[in-house]
Amino acid sequence: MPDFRDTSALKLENIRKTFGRVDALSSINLEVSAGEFLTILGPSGSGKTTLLRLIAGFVTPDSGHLAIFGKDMTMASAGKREIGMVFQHYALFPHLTVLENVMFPLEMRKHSRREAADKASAALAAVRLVSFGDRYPNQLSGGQQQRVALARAVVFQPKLLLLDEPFSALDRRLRESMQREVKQLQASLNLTTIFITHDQEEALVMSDRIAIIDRGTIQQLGTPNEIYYHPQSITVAKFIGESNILEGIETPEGLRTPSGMLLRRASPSTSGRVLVRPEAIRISREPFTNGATNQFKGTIANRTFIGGFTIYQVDVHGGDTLTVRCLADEETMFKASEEVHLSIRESDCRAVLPDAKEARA
Amino acid sequence: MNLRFPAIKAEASSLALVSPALMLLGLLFFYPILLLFFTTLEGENIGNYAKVISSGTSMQVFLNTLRIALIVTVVDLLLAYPLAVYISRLSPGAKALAFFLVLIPLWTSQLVRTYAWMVLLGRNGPINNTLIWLGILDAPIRLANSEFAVVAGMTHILLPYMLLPIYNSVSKIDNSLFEAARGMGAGAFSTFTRVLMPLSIQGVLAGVSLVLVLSLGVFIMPALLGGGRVPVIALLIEQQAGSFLNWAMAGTLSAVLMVIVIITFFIINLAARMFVRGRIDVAST
Repeated sequence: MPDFRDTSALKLENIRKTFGRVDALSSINLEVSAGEFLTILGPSGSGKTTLLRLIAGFVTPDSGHLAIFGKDMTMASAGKREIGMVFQHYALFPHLTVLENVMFPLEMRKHSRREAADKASAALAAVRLVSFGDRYPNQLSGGQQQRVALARAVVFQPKLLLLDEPFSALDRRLRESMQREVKQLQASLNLTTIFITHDQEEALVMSDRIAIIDRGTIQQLGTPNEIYYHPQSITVAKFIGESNILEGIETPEGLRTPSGMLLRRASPSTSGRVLVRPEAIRISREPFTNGATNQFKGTIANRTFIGGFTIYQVDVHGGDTLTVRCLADEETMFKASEEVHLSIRESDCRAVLPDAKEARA
Repeated sequence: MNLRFPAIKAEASSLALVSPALMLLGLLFFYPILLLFFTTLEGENIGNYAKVISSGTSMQVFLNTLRIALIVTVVDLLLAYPLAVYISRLSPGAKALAFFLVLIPLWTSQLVRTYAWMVLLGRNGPINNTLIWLGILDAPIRLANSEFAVVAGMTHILLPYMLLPIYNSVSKIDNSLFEAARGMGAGAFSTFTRVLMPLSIQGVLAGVSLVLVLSLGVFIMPALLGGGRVPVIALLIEQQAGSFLNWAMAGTLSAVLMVIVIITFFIINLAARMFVRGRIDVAST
């Protein structure tokens, strides 16, 4: 038997799942502590939905163990796991009123109708929908339906809350307010939450920790800061945020790219790859006098204005092209084919490892 | 879809669209029914109706017809509901095959199917032979020419009419609703009574009314598989019209049957109003 004495809210050990000949998940290890907000972030087809369905109990693993608060639940049915779930399209019962929808999990737990109605009303009050109890789901807006689904998922005080891309159908403004609302509710109930998304921004905003999943394995697990500033692989670096990844030969001074750029780093590495975030590059018409060791001259190839920011593609003399992102300023905006100076701090040139699969090959 | 012609008002244009069908129905359906009704009143005024209602035999035949129709409907419902759920979960290829198998009986002549049943249930038919070969029976038993044969044949022929409407509503239910129910602790029984049934009740009622009404008027099966032992109203009507040439009585029986059918529809509609609540527009959620 695996050791579940330490009671993390959720513990996955060596979980493996294949569909036919495809490895949907391989050797997943994950521990979530009580009250934590963990995001599973990955592109479509990465295995994140399988992982969620496996935690929820709709899929059983081929091997490995799953425990919820120290209790082995690997083979337990979905209903026995005490997990509240918000489905991607909410899965509200169209033939039941909002109140009846929220009462459903309580009635399945043999609460009296009276008690169920009281608790459901309280849950609806928590999502500010108490006066909507008599309506039917399709008389509500998308955001309201979402809040009903949330109330239904938390009304029976589940041990875990699972959110399956719940904001994907909402427009941007509504999504941001729903993100805040979910986060507040989660914090006030101190509810351990697993959130599935393919939206990196959403992951960074909401999570205590993020697990990046790709090709059925967890690529990196860490806080949003760790994931963003210290990605352990190219996959992670490319998936979170914009990135310039430069390859070259390691020399005693730093990394030299085939075109001759020399990037000096704060800490030496032998990875042969350097990651520079676009916002870490300073751009100016004048040469920098800040003493930065990484200084380059280049030509603006392309400018994209996106409101608060401007993104430039800069051809560095010699061959490499860097993406630079800076705060937009109407007066000093650079024009195409203008000559500019770039500067990058040594500490912003981070070594990244090639992907595990590449390294093995 | 809303067909609208710019120059014509919506109501007028839709009336124009249905008028050919209405005229056809009027000429070939309502007019004969009206004729039939007048036939029943010939000579006797409403005496024929009094005769039918006061006659123990014909009322018994009506009750028998109703009983057989109910049995067939219930058996078809019990067969079709799980089958509809099963088919709705098949892969697209398997689904097409299943529909092909379901629809073959509909495309085959009722007479052919009835004769097939006569062969199957015959004294030396495959069913009797198998039962004897297995040692369950010593001698062949009478399967054909019985109520069992009539019910079996009608159940078979009418199954698609039950299956298709139920499948239609079951297949529209979002699968995540069942997962949500399971995840919230609903067992198989609760999932059925609280989710599957309320969301497919319209299809069920449509199937029930189709099969019930069709089996009230069925003629070929009782005539060929009943062997004269299964009195149903259609046989009685045929007898009055064909053997006794009593058109007025045949018409009266038909009119009473029609009233029974209308009452059946009315009851099912009432049931629909009781069961179907909310806005069950599954596709839009």
